[in-house]
Amino acid sequence: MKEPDNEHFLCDDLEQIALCRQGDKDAFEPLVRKYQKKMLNIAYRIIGDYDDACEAVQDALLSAYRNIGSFRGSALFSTWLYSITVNTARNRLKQVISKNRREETSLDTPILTDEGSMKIEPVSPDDSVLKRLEKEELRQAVQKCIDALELHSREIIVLRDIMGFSYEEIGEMLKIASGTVKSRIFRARDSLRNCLKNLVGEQA
Amino acid sequence: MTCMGMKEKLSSYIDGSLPTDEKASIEEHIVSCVECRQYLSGLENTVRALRELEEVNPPPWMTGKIMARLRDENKESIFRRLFYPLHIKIPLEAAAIFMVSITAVYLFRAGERDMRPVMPLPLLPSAPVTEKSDSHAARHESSPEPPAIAKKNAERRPVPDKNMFDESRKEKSLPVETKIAPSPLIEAETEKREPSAQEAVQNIGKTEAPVDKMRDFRNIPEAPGRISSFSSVPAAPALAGKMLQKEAERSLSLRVNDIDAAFAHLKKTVTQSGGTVVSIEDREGGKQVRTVIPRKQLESFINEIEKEGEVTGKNDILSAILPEDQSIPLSIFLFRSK
Repeated sequence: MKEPDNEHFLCDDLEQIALCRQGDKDAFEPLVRKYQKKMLNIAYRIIGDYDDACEAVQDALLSAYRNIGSFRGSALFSTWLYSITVNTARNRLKQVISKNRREETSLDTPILTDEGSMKIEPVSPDDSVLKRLEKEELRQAVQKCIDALELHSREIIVLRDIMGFSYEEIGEMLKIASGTVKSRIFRARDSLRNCLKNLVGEQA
Repeated sequence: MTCMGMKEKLSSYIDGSLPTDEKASIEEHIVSCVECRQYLSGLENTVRALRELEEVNPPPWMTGKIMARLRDENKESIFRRLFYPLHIKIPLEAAAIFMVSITAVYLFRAGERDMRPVMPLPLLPSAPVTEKSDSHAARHESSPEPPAIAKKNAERRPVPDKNMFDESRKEKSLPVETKIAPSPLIEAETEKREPSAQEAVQNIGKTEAPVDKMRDFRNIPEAPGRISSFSSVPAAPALAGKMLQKEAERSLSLRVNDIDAAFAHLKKTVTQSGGTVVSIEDREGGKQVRTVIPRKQLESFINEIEKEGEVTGKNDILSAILPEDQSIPLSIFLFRSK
C-alpha cells in the first residue's frame, strides 16, 4: 500500500514544489512523471475515453503548475492534484457529453489500450479461452455501467473502488463530508450492481 | 434490522469501515437472511469487477508534451498579461481607429483639392471674348486702376480680364495643369465638360492665378462697402487651398437685345431668388454681374433670366453636382446680341 511511502513522498514533493514556486519549470517534471499515471487512470475512468483523458491530465497538470502557489501543505500534494484531476475530467466529460460522442468511444477504447495489461493480468495457464472472453466481456460491461452512472456516482466509484482511496481522501478531493462519501459510495455501487445484473446476469 | 437499512451497511462492511460490534451483527444477520446474503454477494462481485479493471499507462510523449506546453505557457502568459486584461489592446485599437480616421479624412481632403480645378469655369462666347480681352489688355497698360478696383480684379477669377489668348502664357501654363489634375479620370472629365479650346482658356485662368498681383494688393485697405461681401466669393485660384469649403464660381453668358432692360430684370430676378448682386462691371459690349444665388433657386433663376435672351453655359451648371444647402457664386455676362 501507499501509506508507508507518504512521508517520503511528501518531503520529496515539497522540495520540488518549492522550486516550482520559484519559477523553476524543470522542477515540475519529476512531479509530472510521478503522478501522471494515476491522474490518467482517474480521468480515463471518469471520462471513458483515453485521448480525452490524456488531454484532461495535461490540462490538470498545467493548471496545477499555474496554481501551485495556492497549494497548502495541509493536504497531500497528491490529493490536491487528484482533486484538480477530477475537476478537469468532470469539465471535459461535460464537453464530451455535449458533443454526444461518449457512448461510442467509451465502449471501444479499453480494448485498444488493454492488450498489454491483459497478459500481465495473473491468468492461470488453465484459464480457458472462454473464461478470458467472459472476463473481457465483463470488463466491457463494467465500463459501460460506469459510463451509465450519473456524474457524482461515477466520480466516487472511480476514486473508491478503482483507485482505492480512503473515505477521508475522497472527502478531501471532492470537498464533501465522509458521511456523504459513504452514502454516495453505497448508491453508486447499488446502481452499478443493478446495471451489471441486467447486462451479464446473476454472476455479477 | 431490516434489509433496506442493511444494504448501506453492507457497502461499508465490504470496505471494512464498520465498528466491530456492527460488523458482528451484520455477519450474524446474513447467515439467516438469504436476500441480504445475495445482495452482499452481488455487491462484492461488483466491487471485485471494478478492482480488476486494469490500469492504463500514459502515452510515452505525455511528460514531454506537458513540459513543452508548460514552457510555452510562460511566453503565452506574458502575451496574456499584456492583452487579456486589455491594458494594451484597447488603447492600441483606439489608436488604430484614430489613425485610420485621420488618414481617411486626409485622403478625402487631398482628393477634393485635386478635383477642384475641374469645376466648370466661366464660359465665354467666343466673339466678345476676343474683342474684350484685347481691349482689356490695352486698358491695363494705359490707365493704372485705382487700388480698390485693382484689388477687386485681383480677387476676381482672372479669366475675363486677362489677355488669355496670349500664346506664350498658354504654353507656360500647360505643364502646370498636369500637376493640378494628374488623374486620368479627372482629365477625362475635363474633356467631357470642356471639349473646345476653352479648356486652354480655363487653364490659363486656373493655373496662371495673378499671384503676384495678389501679393501687391494684399496690403491695400479695403474699399468700403461691397468688398466684404465680395470676399465671400471664392475668386482667385491662389486662394483655393483656403477656400476648399466654398463653391467655385460658375458663369453664364446672356445675349440680349436691350442690355439695360435685361440688367434691370436680372437684378430683380436675383433678389427674387433670394440671392445678392456682388458686383457689377462694365465690359466691352456688355456687363459682368457677379451674384450669389441659393442652390435651391438656381434652376428657377436660370429659367427666369432665359426669358431675356439666349443663355450659354447653363448645362454645365445644371449638370454639376452642387451642395444642396449652399449659395452658389454665379457670374453672368450680359452681351448685346448681334
